[in-house]
Amino acid sequence: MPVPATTGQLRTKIEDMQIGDYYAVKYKALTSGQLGIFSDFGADLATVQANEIPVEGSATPNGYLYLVKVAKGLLVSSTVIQHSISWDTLNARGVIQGTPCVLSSITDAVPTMTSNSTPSGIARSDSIWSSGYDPWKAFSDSIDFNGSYTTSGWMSGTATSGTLSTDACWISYEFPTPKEIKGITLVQLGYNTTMYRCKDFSVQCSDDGTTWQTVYRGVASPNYQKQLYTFNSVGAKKIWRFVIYSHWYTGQNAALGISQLEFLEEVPVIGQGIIRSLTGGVVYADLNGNKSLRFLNKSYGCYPTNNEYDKYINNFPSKLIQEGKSIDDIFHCKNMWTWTQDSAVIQTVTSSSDTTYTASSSHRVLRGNELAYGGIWGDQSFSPSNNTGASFGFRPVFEFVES
Amino acid sequence: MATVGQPLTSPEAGWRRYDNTHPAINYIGSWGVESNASAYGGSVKKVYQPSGVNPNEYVEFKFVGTKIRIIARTFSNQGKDAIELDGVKTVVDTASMGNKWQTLIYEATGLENKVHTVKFYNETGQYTSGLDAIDIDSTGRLLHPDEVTDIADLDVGKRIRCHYQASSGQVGVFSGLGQETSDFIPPASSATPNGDFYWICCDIKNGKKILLADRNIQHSISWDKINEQGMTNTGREITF
Repeated sequence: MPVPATTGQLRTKIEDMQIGDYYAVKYKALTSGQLGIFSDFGADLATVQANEIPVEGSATPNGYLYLVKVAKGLLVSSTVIQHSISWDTLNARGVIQGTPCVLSSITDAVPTMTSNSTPSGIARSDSIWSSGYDPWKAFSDSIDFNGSYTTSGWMSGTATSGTLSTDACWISYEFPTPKEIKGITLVQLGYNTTMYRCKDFSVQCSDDGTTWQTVYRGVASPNYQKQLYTFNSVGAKKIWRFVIYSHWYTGQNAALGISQLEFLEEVPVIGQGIIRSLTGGVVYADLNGNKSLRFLNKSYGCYPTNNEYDKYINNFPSKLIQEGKSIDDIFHCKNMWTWTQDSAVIQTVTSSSDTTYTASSSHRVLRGNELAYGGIWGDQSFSPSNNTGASFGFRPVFEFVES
Repeated sequence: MATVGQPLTSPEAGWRRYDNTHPAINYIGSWGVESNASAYGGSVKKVYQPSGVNPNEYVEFKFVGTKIRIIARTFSNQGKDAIELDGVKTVVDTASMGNKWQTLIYEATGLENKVHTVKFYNETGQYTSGLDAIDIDSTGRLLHPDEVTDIADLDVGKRIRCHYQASSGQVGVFSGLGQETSDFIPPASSATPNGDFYWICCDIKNGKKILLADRNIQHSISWDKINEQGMTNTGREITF
């Protein structure tokens, strides 16, 4: 996919972005029909161009996407990144209305580990499930994408349910020299189950591995995107650990696991935001912006006309589009539908050639793909929420609070 | 002519009465309700402080106008009440007024026509008198302590009044932002609302103020009907 044809440029820091600029993020979903995970925020152009997600998306995307800044605190993907995934699956994973996610490049003080003591420092844990689930796996900068039993993370040997004994289950990293840590990021293990996921936790530090100071106590989200927790500095300490007190999963005894753990020296500028989908309106609009049950003209948009798809994609400022290029060269929307947050009005709508289609309560609004069916439905359609297909899918939006 | 210390069971000409249950009257702490047919609106509210005066239990409201009267249930065994009008404190010995309902316990007139703040609390003893009603100018208006009348003045925690009217099962019309149009929609909501409510400012994000209604403004309406108007996800623009 070429870079979005805006007059802006790729930025590696979100805080530098102006409207029309874009920002790159990696997205990897190895299983068709399942949500993947976002990582590598703020990658540079050479890295991104070597591994872009195709403009028509993929059932199993594994590469970089561009996020175009369209408004204060709002970035919209330049493509539908993943097709053949249902609205229901996206909704169950929170990315229709929004799930928290870390939105900025951050500094991990731990190097990319390739064993418990390579290249430096020492990774430890109270126990391991078996060989292959060693603690260094959580510091290997490789995230688990394949559900339950991959070996790209650490898993404890303690198969218990509910609440654990105090400080009984932990994973730690000992730095060669003391480090001042101000936050952590956590990626839970596995995408398709709450089994193995950590709930109540603390972050502790120590100089000797015997006396521990608690610097943070919290409840981790069971969601599968990277989560951020920051705290006040207590000074440089040699050993830092993540201590788990309870499981999210209570169905049966289970081990605890972590896909990726980072100890941060610098608190990210942006911090936490959310990933979600666009709003798209509920039915066609007429010239005056009122509701219309008939497709009249794409330029009238959908009702309510302040929906995000019309506002930010169809009405992207023309002065920010490169000369000779179109909106499709930025958002790649002419041949792909985007799942939106909205549910279709439960009524019969009529195309420009007088064919009709009736929505039920299970229909969700799709936007884009204006050339489909000879263009008689414009760029709005709707589909049952459990439907999947190669021509419609997930176009992520990143929203964060911008000062 | 009304006399302080004597009952005043209805507002005099030029005055308007607000019951103690009015949403603009903000009760901080544990205020008990005493129901009695002799009370205006059927009940009064008072605070019980057996361990001495508690500065964290008080009543606050604002009003626009030039005069105010406080109506209360007085009783011979209760302590003294404190009333602060724009920060100026007056102590009222309501016990000396005897055992009465709807007693005029406090009056201030000839004020500048502007927003005034009122605080009511226990000064001595275990009980306040039972707060029953507030009379102000018939052309005046009672305001919640956090209430603003211009959307530009909204900050997190502040509120603004609005009117909503709808037919049963249909999305209705919002109007009168910042104005007092009518009484409030009941807290238990209504199938055919025609009343006021507060928007409470809960967040300010990227320059947008997020306002949440302080009650369900309409019941017996389906999600589908609300969605038809684009009010579930996209959000419909409304102009006041």
